[in-house]
Amino acid sequence: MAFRSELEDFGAFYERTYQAAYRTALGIVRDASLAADVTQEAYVAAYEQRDRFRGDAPGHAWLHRIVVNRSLMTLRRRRPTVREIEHVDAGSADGTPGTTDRVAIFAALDGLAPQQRAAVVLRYYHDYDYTTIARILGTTPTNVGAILNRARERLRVELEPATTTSAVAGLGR
Amino acid sequence: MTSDLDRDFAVRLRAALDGQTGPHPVWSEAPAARRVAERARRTRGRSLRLLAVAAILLVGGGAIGAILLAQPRPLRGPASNGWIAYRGDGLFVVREGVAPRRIVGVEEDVFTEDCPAFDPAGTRLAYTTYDLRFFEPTEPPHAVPAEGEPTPDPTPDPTPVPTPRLTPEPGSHPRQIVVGAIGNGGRLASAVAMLPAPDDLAACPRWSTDGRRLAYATGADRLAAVDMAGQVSEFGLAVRRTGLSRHFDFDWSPDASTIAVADGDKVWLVPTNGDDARTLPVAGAWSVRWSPDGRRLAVTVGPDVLIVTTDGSLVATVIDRDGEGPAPSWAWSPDGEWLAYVDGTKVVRVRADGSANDARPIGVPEDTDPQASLVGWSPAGDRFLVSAGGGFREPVTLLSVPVESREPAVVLVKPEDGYFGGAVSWQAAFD
Repeated sequence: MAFRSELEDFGAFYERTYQAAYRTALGIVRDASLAADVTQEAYVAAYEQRDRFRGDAPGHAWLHRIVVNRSLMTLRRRRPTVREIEHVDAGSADGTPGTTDRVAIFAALDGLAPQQRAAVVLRYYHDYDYTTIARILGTTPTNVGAILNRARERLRVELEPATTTSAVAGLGR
Repeated sequence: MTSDLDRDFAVRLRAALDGQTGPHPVWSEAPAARRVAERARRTRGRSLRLLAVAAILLVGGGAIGAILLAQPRPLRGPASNGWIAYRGDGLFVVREGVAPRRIVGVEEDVFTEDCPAFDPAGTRLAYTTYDLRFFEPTEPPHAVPAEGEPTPDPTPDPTPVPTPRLTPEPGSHPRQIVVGAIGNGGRLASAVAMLPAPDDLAACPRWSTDGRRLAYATGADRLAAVDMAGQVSEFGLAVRRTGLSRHFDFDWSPDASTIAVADGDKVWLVPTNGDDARTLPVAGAWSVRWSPDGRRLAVTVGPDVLIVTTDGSLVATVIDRDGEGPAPSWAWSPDGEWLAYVDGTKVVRVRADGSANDARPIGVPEDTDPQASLVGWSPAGDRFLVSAGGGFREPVTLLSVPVESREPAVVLVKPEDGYFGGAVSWQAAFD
């Protein structure tokens, strides 16, 4: 199939897709160290299963399924813990608008359930459609819509105090 | 279409995540590369894996051969409220006075179960399984025996029990519809059917009102129904697609002769005898449900809910939000006299002809996020099922709320019980 050759040079595939895969995991597990581990586990799995990659979709989409599944499985094994400090890079809390917004976005993601975070990252970071997200999460597009609706309601609440109303109040389909 | 404000959030999320950099961007330095090399040295025997798969298929084939084509029990008298099934990490059932118990799945397994649905007679439960090994087949196949020992009821018992689940061949078909007969304690006592389901399932399967078939829709614009023997009937439909999502919502008519479909644009009435489908003059239909008497349809259009006849004439606008915000979730009462929805911390009942309404407070527990929505109406018509919460630290709480009295809501599923929203089914019980 069209995309099978993408995985022939696995090292190049890794280097081309690594950061997006890491950020996908980070958006879901919300812990940099855990996200790095999950990403590595995902690549081990991807390498071992590369013969099963049918090539009917881009390699990165296939990889993201593995990353998301790994991330959610990892969170299932961990009981929810109270995060003592928000996730901010030590050297980046400089008060600039970009940093402030990043902190607000991450804090809002923290307020979502793991499956909601996965759906939000797949929809808004990767721009996948509902059918693709449904396949990745093992559910239906209708349920994806419900998950995203609930996530948007929560994001609206979480982000409203930190930003202008117009930026979030109309989050919709 | 994605709104400007959606795009604004997407830009901000990308900026936030793109500002984060992972620690091992080069393959030669990656821990994964070392692990791959170590595993390669171990040279695990692929033939052993194939042998295991063959054994599973043998067991699965035998079990399929032993499938019981159970017939639905005819409905007798008014329904009482049975178990409530929901999806957590596996499938769970719960009822007032009995703690949630897992009836399908074990923690950290390789299956995702979803879409629990009790049949109209309350004797069987259908659900979908999704085999993660289809994409990530690194773990040994996991087969669960097809027979579970009945246990006394009611006794709260969260221990996983054997369930009627069979393992599809890795790499062949990742999704199936499983039908199990309900035993004591809401558990699945035996397998009734293992039915193939399309990978691109667009909405949860729904039982026909005679309990003989399950209808499903796919992202490829197919509407079909499968009976308990696996016989599939396809129904013709020419659905408009916007490209954003494969939205599809549908409902069987009470006499099982017609399926109403809302595709985000039109309402289709699709005869199940193969006749041509027709559309109703309702634009922007997002969800549709027949009234219990089959003479009317409730349709979500934008933020509003309309009651229309089967020829599309408007009877009433029962939920009118002046075009603001998303439509609330709503449900018909079992007698077809009312629709109910949640407005803030109240449940509102509206007569189906739009003539009257009343509201009652939900009584959400103080430590619960008051974000609430209606999940359903009990089969006996005396309780609302309401969900509240949904954040990471406050997962969804399920509440049973009395319809008539002002008694406080009963918490059925607590945040620690692992419900994160999604399909819920309330079993109708008949003496």
